[in-house]
Amino acid sequence: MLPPAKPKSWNHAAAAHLLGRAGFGATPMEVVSFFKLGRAQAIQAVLTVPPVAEPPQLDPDDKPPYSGIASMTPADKLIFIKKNQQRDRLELQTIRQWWIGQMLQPPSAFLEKATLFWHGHFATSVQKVKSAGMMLQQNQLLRKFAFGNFRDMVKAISCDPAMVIWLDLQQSRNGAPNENFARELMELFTLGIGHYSEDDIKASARAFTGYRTQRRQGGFDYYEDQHDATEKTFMGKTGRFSGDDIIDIIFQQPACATFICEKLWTFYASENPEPGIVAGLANTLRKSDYELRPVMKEMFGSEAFYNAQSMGTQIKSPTQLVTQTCLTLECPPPPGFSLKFIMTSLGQLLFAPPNVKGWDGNRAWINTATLASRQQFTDALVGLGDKQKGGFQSKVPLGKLVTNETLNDSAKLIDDLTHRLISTGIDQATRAELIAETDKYPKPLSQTAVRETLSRIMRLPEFQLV
Amino acid sequence: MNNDTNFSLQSRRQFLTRLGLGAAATWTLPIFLDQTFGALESDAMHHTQAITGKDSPILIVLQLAGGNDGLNTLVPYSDDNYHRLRPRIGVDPKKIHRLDDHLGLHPNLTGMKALHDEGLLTVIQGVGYPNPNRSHFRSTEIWQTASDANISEKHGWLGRYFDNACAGCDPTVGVSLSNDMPQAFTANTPTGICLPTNIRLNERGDEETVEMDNGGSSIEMLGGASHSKLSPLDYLKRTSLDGKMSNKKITAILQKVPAPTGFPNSELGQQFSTISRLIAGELPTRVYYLSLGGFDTHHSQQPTHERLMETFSSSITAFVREMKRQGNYQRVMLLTFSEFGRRVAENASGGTDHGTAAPMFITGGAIAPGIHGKAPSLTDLDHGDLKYTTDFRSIYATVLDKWLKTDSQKILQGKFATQDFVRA
Repeated sequence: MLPPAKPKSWNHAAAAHLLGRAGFGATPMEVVSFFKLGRAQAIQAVLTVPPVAEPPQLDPDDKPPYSGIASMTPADKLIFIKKNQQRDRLELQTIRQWWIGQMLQPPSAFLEKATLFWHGHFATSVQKVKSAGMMLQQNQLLRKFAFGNFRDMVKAISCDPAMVIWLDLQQSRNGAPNENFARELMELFTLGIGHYSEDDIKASARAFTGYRTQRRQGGFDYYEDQHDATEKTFMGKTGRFSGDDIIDIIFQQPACATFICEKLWTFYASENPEPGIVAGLANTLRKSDYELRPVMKEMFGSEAFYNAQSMGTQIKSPTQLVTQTCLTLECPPPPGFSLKFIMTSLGQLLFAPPNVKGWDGNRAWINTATLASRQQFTDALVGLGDKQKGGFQSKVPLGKLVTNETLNDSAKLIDDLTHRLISTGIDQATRAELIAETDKYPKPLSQTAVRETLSRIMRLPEFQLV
Repeated sequence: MNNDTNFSLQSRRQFLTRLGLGAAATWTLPIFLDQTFGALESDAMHHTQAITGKDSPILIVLQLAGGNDGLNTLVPYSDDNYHRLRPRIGVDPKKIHRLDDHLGLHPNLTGMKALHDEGLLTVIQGVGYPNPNRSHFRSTEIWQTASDANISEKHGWLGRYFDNACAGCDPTVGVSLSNDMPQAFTANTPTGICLPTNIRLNERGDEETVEMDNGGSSIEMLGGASHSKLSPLDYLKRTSLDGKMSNKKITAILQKVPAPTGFPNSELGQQFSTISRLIAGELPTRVYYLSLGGFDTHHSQQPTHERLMETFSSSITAFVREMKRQGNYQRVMLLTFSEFGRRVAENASGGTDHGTAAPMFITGGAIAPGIHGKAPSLTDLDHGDLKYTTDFRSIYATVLDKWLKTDSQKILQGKFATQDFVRA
């Protein structure tokens, strides 16, 4: 059990921190009401499963039959393929937009944040899966288990159609096992490198033979005649192991709980956690037989979650940047077609992680290109993207962000807006400089002056932290 | 909806033109400029290599991400074991570009065969390292940090070069042609900039279907975690300053130097085109880094690998031709590597699983052309994989000592014998 946070450390900043990390941030008013719940109630709110959201309707005939394609003329074939690609792109746009929308719904934000963690963990890309329907199905699976049982989730993901394609289980059969899934199962999903041998990979690859999905209909099939049911020796145990048996043995390894708890802490709290923190959480995870909610409850209630190493030290992920900025500026997210380009240029296109390891995160989010793209995004959001040069219509309700008083008082405006936008706060010199810049505009401030002020604040390096 | 669609096409195109290269034009962060400039100046007193855009040597590193099948790239076509172990995916000896009586290049490496015939290509066989790791991520890390297989080293080999020889240099001393920094660039002091070209437009200015038309691989780009000692906030400040400093310069070059002809339309081809413009425009860059993904061919390898070989060869060839045309060929060295080769025997899915040693290709003004190194045996194997014959760190040592003219021992943290593929 990690040392719990002291009651007096529950204040507005702590409430904002919990909202920002367990969810995607909130307006100052929402922070106040969250604070009033008290820490225990607030954590309970975080870990409550929201009502099930209706997923977007996709074309049920996910892939039109390809049987006729062989007899088509080359020109018809091209039209056919183009049409399919276009439909796939639109469907992807739909599910991305839907997911970002879910993140912006107050009751579901917390579950969506956890779903995002698991998307990065079981990182599967549509680039290879080539079906928006399958990606949505996997997304629903991750959501279902995000506050559930880790072992059940791993068993479910091994039968997930997108995963079956992504890591080549589809091609793995008795006598010819494909090692891709078996390797990443241990290296990236459960144990981490160094906790298994090459022989373990070979043996477990045989256990996962016969897993299939029908590309056209989706769904999972198990081909018994392609499964290797013979004896295998895996991690010192011998038997006619199935895939689920292998997963059960993996979950008996002490490294399993440690591995996932370190990753959870890094995602939610801070980089390079002390061994004691990871060991404490891992202990809880084992005791709860791999139920995730007790671990998250302990994490969000711990003293270390609210210390200086954790608060305001995380570089926002692109998803966090987009959602938190929209939430705090009380505006809708960019439309689907812009969203894809924004997320790509920021370096995190949902449903298309760069590889099976997912996004590295933290400092790896930031380089000269992505940082400039972040500025372009925030400029476009407040309506300063050069209209001739595209972007999208700004829908930030400026009237909600300012008052008659702040339009006439630069210092008050800067304090209000930085409080709303920057979780770490800013130093006195920066504050003075921002006030001086704002003082250059005639009073009361025009809409353009407010937009430029917002843009200036969101260009501060501090704005990139949560 | 109609309006939306029109707007979308237009705005996409315009958004794009602003994203990559014109990105940071309005980047202003006056508040901390002073202090960071101060830090830069003090760094600058320590750098040992004066770097200009006109005459210093340039290194270009191309990673074939996902594990390129070396045996189907440089094919030991006369070895019966090759055909026995690869009955389905083995390359037809009749179609191979023969280099000698034993080795040939993949049929789609047509341009590279021409380079070889003109004495512009070096091939090093069997490059790897002891105790090979078959994880993409770990093996990429080993290659990028030049560490032993059992040691986890955070900084990249090129990052250590920047730290040791280029401290305080212009941030464009290292340029990554992607949205990610390679781990090879990870340095004590963050160095290098990113120039993404990961979204491309077709001739009509429409978005290409890059999202779903790749060959079907779970390994595209392999980036790496950054391990700078700077706090996240200082790291952000430093990066924004680097962006500001480099952007104006690059924008000016790209406005001045038109896109050369002869480059393929592939993303890699366009990246090489950009590099050749930056070289022509005298950007003071020492190292360019690119990655071509899609090599993780566990199943149905043939069509994917054929396509990749074509992209690889046509892009490199166009680049060499353009360097010759510019008169800058003498200034460049291009090095290609993959985190590992693939298993000698094909698998039952018409693909290959993760392997070990593989060939490296090198071109540039200072190379000693031809086939170097010893061919690994196809029968004396380690768990079905090739035993390496040349340690990749001796390749790095050669590049550092003989090409970048810096002490490789300091950067590689150990002594590795240099090879003779660079002319003295």
